[in-house]
Order: sequence, then structure tokens, then C-alpha cells
Amino acid sequence: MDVDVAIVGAGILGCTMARALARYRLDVCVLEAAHDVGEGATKANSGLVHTGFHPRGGSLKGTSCVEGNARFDSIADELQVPFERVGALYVAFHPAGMEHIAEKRERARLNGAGDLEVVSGDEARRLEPRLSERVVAALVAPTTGIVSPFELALATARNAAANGARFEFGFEVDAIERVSGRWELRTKDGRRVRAPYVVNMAGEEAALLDVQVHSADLVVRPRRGQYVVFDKQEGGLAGKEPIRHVLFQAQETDEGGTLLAPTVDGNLLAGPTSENVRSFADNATTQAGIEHVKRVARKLVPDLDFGRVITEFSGIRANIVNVEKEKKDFVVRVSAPGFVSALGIKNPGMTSAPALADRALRLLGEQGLRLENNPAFDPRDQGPVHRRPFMDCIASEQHALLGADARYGHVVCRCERVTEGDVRSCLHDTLPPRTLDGLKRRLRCGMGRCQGAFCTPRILEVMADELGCAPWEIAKGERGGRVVKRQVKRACGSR
Amino acid sequence: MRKPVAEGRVLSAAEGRVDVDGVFDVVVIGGGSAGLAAAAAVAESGPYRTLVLEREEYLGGVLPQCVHDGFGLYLYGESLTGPEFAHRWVERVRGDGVPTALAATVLSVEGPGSDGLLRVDALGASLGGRATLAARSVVCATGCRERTRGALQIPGGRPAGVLTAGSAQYMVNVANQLPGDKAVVLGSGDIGLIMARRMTLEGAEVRLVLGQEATGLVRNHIRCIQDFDIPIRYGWGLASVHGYGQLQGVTVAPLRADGSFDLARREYVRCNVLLVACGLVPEREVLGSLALAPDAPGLFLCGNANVPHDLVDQVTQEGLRTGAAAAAHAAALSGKPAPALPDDLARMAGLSVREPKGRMGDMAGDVPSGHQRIVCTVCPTGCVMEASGRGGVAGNTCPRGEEFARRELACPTRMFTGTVAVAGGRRSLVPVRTERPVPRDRLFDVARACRRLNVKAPVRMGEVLKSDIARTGVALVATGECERAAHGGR
Repeated sequence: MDVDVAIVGAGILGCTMARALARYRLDVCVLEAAHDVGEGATKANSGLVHTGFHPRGGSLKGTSCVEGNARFDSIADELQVPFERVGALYVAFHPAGMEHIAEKRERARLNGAGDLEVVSGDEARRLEPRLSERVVAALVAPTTGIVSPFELALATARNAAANGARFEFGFEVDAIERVSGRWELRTKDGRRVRAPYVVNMAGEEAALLDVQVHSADLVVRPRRGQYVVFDKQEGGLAGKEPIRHVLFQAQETDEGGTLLAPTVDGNLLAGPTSENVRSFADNATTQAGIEHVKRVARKLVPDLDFGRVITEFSGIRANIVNVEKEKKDFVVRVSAPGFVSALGIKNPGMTSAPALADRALRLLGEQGLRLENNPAFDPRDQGPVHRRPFMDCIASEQHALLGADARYGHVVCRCERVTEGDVRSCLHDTLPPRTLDGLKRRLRCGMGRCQGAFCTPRILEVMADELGCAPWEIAKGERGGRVVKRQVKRACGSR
Repeated sequence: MRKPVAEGRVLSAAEGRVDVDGVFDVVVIGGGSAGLAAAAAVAESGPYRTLVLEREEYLGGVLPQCVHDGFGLYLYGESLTGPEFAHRWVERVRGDGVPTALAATVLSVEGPGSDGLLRVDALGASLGGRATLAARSVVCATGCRERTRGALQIPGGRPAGVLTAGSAQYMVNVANQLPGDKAVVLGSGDIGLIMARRMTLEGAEVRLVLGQEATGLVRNHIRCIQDFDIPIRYGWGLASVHGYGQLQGVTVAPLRADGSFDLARREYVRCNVLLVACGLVPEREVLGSLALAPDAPGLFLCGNANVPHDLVDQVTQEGLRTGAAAAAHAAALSGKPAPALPDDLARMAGLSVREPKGRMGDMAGDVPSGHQRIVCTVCPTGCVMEASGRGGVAGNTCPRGEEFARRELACPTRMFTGTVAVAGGRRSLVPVRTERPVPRDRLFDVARACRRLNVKAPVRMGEVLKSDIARTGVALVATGECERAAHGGR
């Protein structure tokens, strides 16, 4: 296949890049090793649109974060993904923490986020009533927002696809070679794509691809972050105020960047830890990690009820290890003629993605890529089939859906209120899911307080029926495990 | 549309549609054992308008998937299977003319408003889509859910193959889905033990059952674990889960007194399915903020949504009493006559259901060598006896127990319960049991014969599916129903 630009990686950055390129008359293809978008760092992180007071002042990380943050209102509106500027409090527990606050405030200023207000402990508790009595001051960052990272990546990818970008899944780039003035990207099984321009946004794999065209100057290793997720009603129904802000703490000791954050779906998230692991595949949780998260979360909000925890998860970020901490930054560069790489992209990568994609676009232009406006580009199009889940529809839409298909009236996932009609329709959507986890990330079925105990076997039956396969042929996730091994008993004359 | 199971019927626009206009005296949320008993109590105690809302496509709640026996020992004096127990109440409620909306999910409950009525917002084809029902009383009989791996915060990988025991029970007994064939069960409560036996009888190898402490009924310990020589360890817990794609194994370790693991003595157990059976949580989130106001006028909680019970008999009793109370509240609001339970329901509601004897926790100490522990099943008391090789019996509280123990020593027998595949049915499995107990050492033969046996839909409750199963001389009977599929089944 010959295209104008090949993007490697369908994480939030690759998808944002594809959407940015879809605005021009270009043949764009996204090559993704996994079978879905956002299968790497995108699917498991804090879901924050950062203000930009954490990264070093004036760094690419910091400036791209501030620039990206400013664009999220229009992005969320165009792509119709839930986004809320809940604001963040960066809290100090003691006078030494005040120095951290001053430093973060300065970083925000240098990164272009303006002057952030510092308030007293009492004022912070007025904003967030369950905040610890020990908090003495807080930096207030009103522009910090929350978003569902997977939903954002998927909507971005769908919009890119609806505007002509192609997505090749299961395309694990094995070799890159310069062939007669173009780049040829090959998989082990002989699939090949040729393009004069390549954008390497492969996240954890990006450094490994980069060394095929550039000297090995950056070493990227996996760093794991563990999270704990609370049920939706941590807040209102438990008889307590919900946590409304993102809560960061000025580190006293080696507590990592552990934070508390509400999610757009109404849950509360605590995490992450920060630990080096051997493999990007190692998304296990550990006793020590969970205990750490709970300890820090309890320090921020002492009356958290850990009996309301519904699950834990880990995300892996790509961490540059051979650059000293104070010089470390995102790297978006021309690694070879027509070959742009984004390296060491971790948090705040999702926030920075629009600005980083623009930077890559600029670099491609400098490399000679002609950018001619695509007049047909529609920033809102999500493809022909896509629609909101039944429960997110207004009454008249619900009525119409029910009239067309009574299965929209059948709730299969009781915790998240997902209907059978939603499941069937989702399987035919633009960039449809191929696994149970893919479906879960799109519809939230199985993400609730029963963690799929009630709905998983039922959803497998609906999926199998709709896809014309057997439940034991449906994988749980990207790594292929099965929830069902086989039939218990086989009836004569049946499959 | 998913094929209905158990007591269910296929819903179409015309069939199964209920009238939701006007005011109900009592709306019952949940068609399990508590809800059905409540509905029967309402319908039979006066001229009240009631309705059962059930989110599944069948009635009976968790009972249709509980194909084992042991239900109804107090209320009926017999050991019924779950589907049989459910069948009695489904028939009773149908006989009472109570409308039941299947596959109907309640989205919220609000009120009571200034008119004293509660409003139930629900969704389902059987309700004609989305409907708001007005009710003088609402009975919340929504049951409970299981504590999950996530709630227990068990660390490790996130592979496929980790599920709750009840989820596995639905898969194995109803959905015809086997989750794995090398199992570890976490939790030695009754659900864990019963699933260990079910998996074993379906050909899986249960490699270990872990119990923090000895809980559950001795009866289940003997019949589910001891009978099948399943390894069980008390005082051990699950330290970690291993695997990325598929579950590869688990690390187990002894628990110290402070609840931490003694990891120096940890062991690795290879398995491809982990069943988590670690307790139940009442599920009443549907009530929203009313869940915090259990004394809201007209709102009633019963069954496992109120508090998890050990026995369905207790749940049923609570349902009956709650139904009567809900009817009384509705009667007071509407000026209708006060409720009067019919004699048989009043008798059932008033029966004294004692906690069964013989909990594992009371059974400290091993049985002396040469002795055997026997649990009497002649009556619900469940005396735990010890019999010596020389024929002495101790621990019985009546002569019938001694007689039972001697029979058990000479030739122990067990009721077999399981499932059989159905061809051309609306569901692919139908629950079965042997008509009477079979010799214990023939259980595997019967299980194998059941796997080979194929029956054609329709299947009726109590129908003899095989007159002599596995040459035991005992008949195999259906304990549930299965209609013929509309289009040839699957």
C-alpha cells in the first residue's frame, strides 16, 4: 500500500496526528500493532487535562501542555466527548510544601498558564470540604479538566477515519527501510506500507523504531502506575460530599505523583504509583502499590471509604532513562529525512497531544510535505453508524430507538445501564471493538460495581449472536485470553 | 435477542406486555424468591393491584442457576433444587394473576411525593419502553451481588479467567459456558463449595479451595469437598494472580493472625480459572438516595437486598412479611381493606426457621482415625454425627439419625443434581436430578451419562428424561422446563 503519510501507533497522539492530517488533502494511514486504538498508555492513566504547573518551566512538555489544555473545550465539543474543567488543588501539608507550591506556581507562569492563585488551608477546605485538616495551603488550578482518555482517542480516531484516514490494525512494524526515496514499513508476516513521510508515535515502541533510522541516543523504559477505582457513589449516596477537584499533594517524601481525581463517569480515581518495571506488558498490580495509593489518598482525604473500591488497574508509561531529571522533556524531532519521531511521551501526553501533533505537522512541512486544505473535512463526523448509548439519549431519541428495535429496552449491564441494542449497534460502529474489553471501553459494560459478574456471560451471548461466532471464540482483551473455555455440554444438532 | 432461560418466555411486542397506567398498590422490584413471595402475599391478602418488575428474562432470581438441592427444607419439609423451589412460587404468582414484566430494569425510585406515591422509572419492552409507574408501596427485592476480585483488592495480573463463583454458576448451569478446566476456588462459604462440586462433576479439576476460616455448612463441606477429595486449606488466602492473557496460576499463602500473608510459605498453584466466593453485598443502588432513607414511607426492603441470608426459606419468609406490610401501607393510603394473609402463607411466614446446625466453625478438631463424620439429612436440623468403624454412632439427637448413619456407613448415597443438553430448545441446558439418591461412588458415572445424554425440547418439569441413568436403576428427572425454540434453537 502506498500512502502520503504513515503514522505508527494509534494511541491518543497517533489518533490526534491522523485527525490533524485529515484536514489536508493527504492519503493517511495509521499502523497499529494492537487490534484497537489506545491499547497502550492511552487506556490506563489518570484521565487528566493538565494545567501545566508540573513540567519544568518553558519545556516542550510544559508549553505543549498549556497550549493543548486551551484547545480542549473545542476538541471536546467537536468530538462530543465528556470534558469537565473541575479544577485542581495542589496542596501542601507543612511549610516545606509551600516551597513546592511556589515552584509549581512559577512553572505554570513560565509555561504560559498565567498566575495561579494560592489559598489558605481553610479556603482549600471550603472548595473541597473533605480535604484533610492538615492541609495548610493550596495552589488552585481552575483549568485542570477530566476526560475519558480512551473515549477521546476513539472519537478522535473515528473522526479521522470518517475524514478519510485509514487504520491498519494488527500491523506491527518490524522493519523500516528507505527504498527509492520513500520509507517502507514491513511486518513480520510480509505486509508492507510505503510512504514518503512517516510519523513515529508508537509510544512504548517508538524508541525501538527510531533506532532503525537514527542513532540510539534515547533509552526508553517502562514505568508503571497503579490505580484504585471507587464506585460512583463515593460521594452523594454514601452520605458524603463527592470529591469535586483533582487533588495533588506537595510531596513530603517519596510519594510519587499520587493524586485523587473524579472521573467523567462519576467514579473516583486514586493513583498512580511510579515504579520501574521490566516489561511494557507488566500491567500487574501489587500489594505494596495498592497500599501506597491508599495511604496517600487517605492523607489527602482521611474519610475515604475503601470498602467502596471496585477495582484496581495499572498503566505503563514510556520513560526516558538516560537523561537527567531536570533536563528530561518530550522529544518530537526529525530523526531522518521525512521521518518524525515522538519519544518519551508520557503524562501530560494526552493534554499535550494537539500541540505535539501540530509540532510534528510543522516538521513534516519543513521536510517538504505539501499541506493543501481538505475542504471536505468535517470536524464532527464520527462515521455513519455511530450514535450515543441509549441512556445518554434524550427522551425523544430513546422513543425512536425503542420503536426501531425493542432490544434498546433490554438492559444487559445493570451497573452501567448498557442495553442489548447498544451492544449490537456498537459492534458495527466505525472502528468497532473486537474483544470484550474493547466493547467495555466503548460502552462501559462490565466497568461498574459488579465488575461484569452479572453481565459478562450475557454480553458474550449477545456478542456471539451478533458476530455469528461462539462465546469461546471471543477474546477478553488484546492478549487473547478467553472468559469461556468451551461449551459445558453439546446438544445433538447444535453447534 | 438472547434466548430466554428457566421460567422465561420470549418477549415479543404482543406477548408479555403489562399495563402500567394508573396507580399500583404495590410495585415489587425483583422477581427472585423475596419478590415472588412478596407479590404472592400482596395478591392473596386483599384486592390490591400489584406488579413484579424483573430485569432478567426469567423469574426466580438466582434460583434457576442453583441446580443443586437443599432448598425448602423448612418451608416444605423437602429438599428441593433451586429451579424446583422457584417453580412453585412462579406458579403461585401466576395463579394469583400478578402481572410480571420481564427484562424490565428499574432506573430510579423517587418519592414519596405530596400525593404519597412513589415513582418508579423503568425500562423494558414488556413495559412498552420507558415508563414511570406510580405506586403506594414499593418492595425492593433486588437481591445482592458478589464481592469481586477488585473489591477484595487482590493484586497481580489482569488476565481472563478470574470471575465470581455466582457468575461461573450462571455460566456453567444456564449459559452452557465452561470458564476453565483447572480451577482454584477462593472462599469456603457455601457458594464456593457448591461450585467446587459443580466444576468437578462437569469434568474440571478443582486444584484447591482456599478458606480464610472454616465457614459454611458441614453438610456442604462433606458433600461438596470430602465426597470428591477436593484439596481444601483453611487459614490460607490468595496472595497474587498471575497471567496477562489467560490466567496461568495463583500464589497462595497462609494468613497470619493480623491478616497479612506469611509469604515465606507461599505456594504457586497452576490454574486457568479462579472462582472468587468471598461474600455478598446487598444491591439496592436502584433506590438512589432513598437507600439512605430506609424509613421512607411506602418503601420496603426484603430478602438479600436487605441483608444476605443463608437460606432461601428465610428469604421467602421475609418476602411474605414484607409483602403484607407493603399491602398494609397501600391499604391505609387508599382506604382499601387491611390485608389478611391466607392461612398457608401466614403459617409459612410464621414457621420457626432455626439456623442449621453443623457450621464448619463449630467443628474444630479432626475426626479421630477410624471414625467418620456424618451429617444427617433426615430433617432440617442437620445433626453432625461421628460414627466409629465398630458401628457406634454419636452426636445424633433422635433415633432416626442413628439409622441414617448406619445406612450411610453401609452404602452412602447422594442425590445427583446437574444439567442435560437440550436440542431444539429455547435454552441449551435443562436442570436435572436423580429421582432418589444414588450410591455415592456412582456420582461420576451419572455425571458422565448426563454429559452424553441429549434430550429434545420441549421438556416439562418433573419429566423423566432417562428411566435408568448410568445403570443405577434410578431415573433422571427434569427440575426445570424448556420450551421448543421458535426457529430450531441453536
